[in-house]
Amino acid sequence: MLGSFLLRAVRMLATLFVVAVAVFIMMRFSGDPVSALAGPDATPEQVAEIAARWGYDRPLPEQFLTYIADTLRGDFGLSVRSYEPASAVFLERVPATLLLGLMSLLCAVLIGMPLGIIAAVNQHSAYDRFVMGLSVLGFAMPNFFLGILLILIFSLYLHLLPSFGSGTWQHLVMPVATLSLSSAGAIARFARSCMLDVLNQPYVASARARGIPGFRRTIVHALPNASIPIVTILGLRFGDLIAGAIIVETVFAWPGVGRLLAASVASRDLAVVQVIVLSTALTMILANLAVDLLYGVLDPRVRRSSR
Amino acid sequence: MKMPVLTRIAVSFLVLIAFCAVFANFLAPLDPLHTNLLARLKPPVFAGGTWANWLGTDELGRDTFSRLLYALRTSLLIAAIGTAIGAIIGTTLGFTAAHFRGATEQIIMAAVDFQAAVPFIILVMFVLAVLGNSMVVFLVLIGFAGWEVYTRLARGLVLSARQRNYVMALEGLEMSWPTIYARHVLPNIASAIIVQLTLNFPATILLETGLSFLGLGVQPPDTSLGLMLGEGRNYLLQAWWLSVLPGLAIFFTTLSMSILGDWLRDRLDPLSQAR
Repeated sequence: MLGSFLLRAVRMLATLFVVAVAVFIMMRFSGDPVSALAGPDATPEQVAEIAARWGYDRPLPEQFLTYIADTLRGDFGLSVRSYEPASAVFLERVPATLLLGLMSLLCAVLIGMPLGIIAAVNQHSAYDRFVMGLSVLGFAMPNFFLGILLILIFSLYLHLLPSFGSGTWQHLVMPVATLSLSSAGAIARFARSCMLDVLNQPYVASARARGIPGFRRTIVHALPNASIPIVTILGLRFGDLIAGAIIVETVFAWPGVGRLLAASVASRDLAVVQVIVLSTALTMILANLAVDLLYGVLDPRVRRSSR
Repeated sequence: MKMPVLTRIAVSFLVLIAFCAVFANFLAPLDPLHTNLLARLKPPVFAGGTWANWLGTDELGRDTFSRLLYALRTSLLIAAIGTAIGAIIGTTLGFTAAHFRGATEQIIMAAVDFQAAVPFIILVMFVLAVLGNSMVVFLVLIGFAGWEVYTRLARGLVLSARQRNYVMALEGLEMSWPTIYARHVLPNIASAIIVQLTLNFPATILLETGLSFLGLGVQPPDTSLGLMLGEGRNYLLQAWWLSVLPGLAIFFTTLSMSILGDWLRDRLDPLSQAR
């Protein structure tokens, strides 16, 4: 277990390193950083001075090492919009996005799992078709359009909820609803198919033959086995939530990382964009690692085979 | 071929919007770029407007119906080209991985795993921030969306095809591998890839419209359904139709395509139903 964990950790670091290299190369593609800093009116002396001050006159491998060292220290340079350190600009926005993301994930699981499980138990019933229909709708509905419809209905016509901003629980309702809907649909669909796989296995039939009631059979016997692949999909859903947050935060003017990213890309604030890309990659890699570990906890076979 | 009613409706809708997109320049009653500040934010007919602009006008007095047609054309064109590029790149990489095995396969599959882990929209936004926005950059980026799905799919299918008798027989006849792949393997696995195309198409539309909605995709004076929605968002109170109409167009397009894709998958690829 420990050995395989170490192996995963090393692979994780390797992936991160590859991401960092890719980001470094892309940043150098963005044009000459010196002339961008110096502006069009700079004299050759000023250009040389700026190049020396920011280290752009050094050879590329040395620049790369400096870049890695800076990244490890959390120094990504200044945001060109606010002239504050990019990492500070980013960290300030993290709590809002975490709140939104975790609440949405929680809602998506709490809604999607029961819907999918009940649909699987009642396969081919009207309820099953209804849930599957809902999940297709959830996938086809663009989250920005759903958000705008909610604003139209609940803010502009019914005056029930604030249409933008943050601070109270009322501000959280519509962004969370928007963000969790498509995930809930996908989770329901997936939970249903995982449950169906398990419900058709002989051991469930034997439990039925032993007279174990349907509810207990579903929850105690089938669900633990069905939950293993579902956990995997949750790791992937996490990425969709991050992607969705970019749009949903913009729609509801939610002061989170997603909105910061959209604004920074529009103004080409590369330092901030870079922090966000690197931390998203890190988050996703950690989420996948967590899923792997959870796999071991949920499935004793994985634990034994990796020992 | 017997089609359920819902699938028939979906296909009819897709044919209709494809027709509208292709013939946008003949169907549009007015120039989509013609501004008329005296006729700003006119409501559509069903909200008390006139037939002169039956779907109303936007904040610059441009005809919403004409703009919708052109936006539909742009969005569908980008999604179609994007889907095609992704399918070609992804499938080629899948064939490459399955043919060479070894290190090549490892590298390609590592890239697939990475791509599957990091949300694609983040990568697109990073590249847009670095290179700046232009139609070509944007189109290429959209093209890469979903490539990893095709790679994984094609690799698996090619690996199993190589174990089949017909491929071994052709190999024994000393036919060259490119010919075997192009003439014999590809037609055999095409149905699975076509199913994947239909399932990916809605995701591509959502990616394009989402980015355009943020103002990071299609740039004015061109317009896409997402950009229209994003611009209309500022006039929700005065003119809800400016955002709702393009939103509905996106929603029904992705919905129809998903229904068609599900139906195709069940018909052509019964084994992959469990998803």
